[in-house]
Amino acid sequence: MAENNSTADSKDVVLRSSIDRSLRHPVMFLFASGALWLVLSIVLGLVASAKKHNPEFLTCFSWLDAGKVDAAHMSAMIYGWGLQAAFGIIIWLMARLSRKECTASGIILWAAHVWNAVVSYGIIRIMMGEGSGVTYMEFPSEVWPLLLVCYTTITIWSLVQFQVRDAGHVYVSQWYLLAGLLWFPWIAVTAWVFVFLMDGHPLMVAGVAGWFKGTLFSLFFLPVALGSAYYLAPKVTGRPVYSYNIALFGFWSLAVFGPWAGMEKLFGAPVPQFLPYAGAASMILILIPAIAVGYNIIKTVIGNSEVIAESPSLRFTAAGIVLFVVFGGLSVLLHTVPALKLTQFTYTGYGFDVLGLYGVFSLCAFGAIYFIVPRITRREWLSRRFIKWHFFCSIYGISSVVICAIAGGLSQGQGIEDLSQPFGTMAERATQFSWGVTLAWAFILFANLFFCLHLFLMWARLGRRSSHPTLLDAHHPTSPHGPEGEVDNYSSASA
Amino acid sequence: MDHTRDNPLKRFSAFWIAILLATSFGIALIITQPFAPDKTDKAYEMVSEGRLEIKDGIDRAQDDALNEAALAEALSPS
Repeated sequence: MAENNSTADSKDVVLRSSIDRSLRHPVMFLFASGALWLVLSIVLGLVASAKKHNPEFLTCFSWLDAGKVDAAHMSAMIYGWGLQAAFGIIIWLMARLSRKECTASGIILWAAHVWNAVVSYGIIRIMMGEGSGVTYMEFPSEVWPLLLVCYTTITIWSLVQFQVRDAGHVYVSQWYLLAGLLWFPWIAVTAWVFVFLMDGHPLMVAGVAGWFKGTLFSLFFLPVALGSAYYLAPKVTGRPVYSYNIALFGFWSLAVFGPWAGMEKLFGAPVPQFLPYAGAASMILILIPAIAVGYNIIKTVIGNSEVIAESPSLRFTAAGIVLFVVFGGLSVLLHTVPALKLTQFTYTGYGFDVLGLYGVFSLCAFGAIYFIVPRITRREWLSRRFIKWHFFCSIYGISSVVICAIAGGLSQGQGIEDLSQPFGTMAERATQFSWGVTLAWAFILFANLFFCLHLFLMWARLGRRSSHPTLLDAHHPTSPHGPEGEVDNYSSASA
Repeated sequence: MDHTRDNPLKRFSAFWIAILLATSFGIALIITQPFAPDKTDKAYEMVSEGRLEIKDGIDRAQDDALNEAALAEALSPS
């Protein structure tokens, strides 16, 4: 019996090792190029934020004009960093959970290169002043079909793996990943067709663009983040997910409320009034899946405070989930009718979007990257100090961006509503808050420069060859990943 | 490979079903587009010629009134 268990364990290790080996090159390329884009997007965000309190900053460079650099900043963050990190997480997680090796690594790697080339082209066109001007779809119209083809080329293999998985339980993570994989082409194709292809009414085009902006987060980035969290929390703590029923409820509540998000951006526009109100209602109801997922994940990891403190993966993931609950709460406050009226044309929307993209999605993605990279490179992270700096500077930075942007936006909104004051007063009200945002982006840049460096060192396989994972506490008595750590078990499965 | 679930035929069909799903949204939009009602506002279109003539007249008058040399001098740093 013991022999059978041992044989089954070693077969399992061989299988996991072969899955990791099959995905090493595409996943590392996606993570590394995504990290570079993240650094670039933060630099652009710094410049964009600096221009808000100092409009003369870098005016000698016309390609860094405020409108261009704002658009380039968000496009680089979403399409350069966010989508590539999501691809890497999706293809690795789905392969592991379906227990199938990837047979299309070369194709995925090729498509990832094309994705980077297309995104670079799009960013350059934006900075030349040839962006489309549509929020979150700033790239010129000819870019979108290429991005959709690359998306399909990268992710279709994960759908095939899911379909041919061994019969058995479908994990919670797989629900979220599968849903995200299918939702993205729906929202992207619909938005591209209505905004760029069809000659529709301009107001409806604006509505569809707003809908795409809302659902890109709620129906793609959020499911990927939650799928990753539902994998890592039980994996690292060694405990099952606290409640299957709450997980089911959280998933379906996101599936019901998520698709309605986005049109609250048209509040006050001459469109049928049920559209922005439905969007606002769905953003308020996002609190329900936020509480469900937050409660489930936190109950799974609670009682293991040492593990959360020591494990980089779990620390980042837990922080991302906590910020998801904060996101849900803020969503309720910011999408009531009085709040929408006050904050519609202010800094607040930017702070809220950054909370979602960086605070929720990116922190969960960092947790996944800190878990996945040692397994596919068979090296451990070099420096716990880099990881700590990355974590604390990210948390401090994102909190500051969100607090300053939202507070600044509320102050701006009061200025807009005060008709006895000149319009310039409104802009001046946000000056000190935009200084705060600029400083916060500087902290986040510092954090991610070290993350990028660390990741490139791992890509070059200069990480530690060790049987024990890199933990954040140097004095841990035992490893939360087990006495030998998973990396060591690969020695029997080496090629 | 477990031939009951993982075989080339199943992989082939899964691949093409996924492609179909991804493109179905776009195909559905393109198919339904011809059936959308014509929203052309005929009265608006009828007066558009007159409106465009007025606009062209205004543009010509403004171009004639624009003094390029004085504008360049006003915008120069010194």
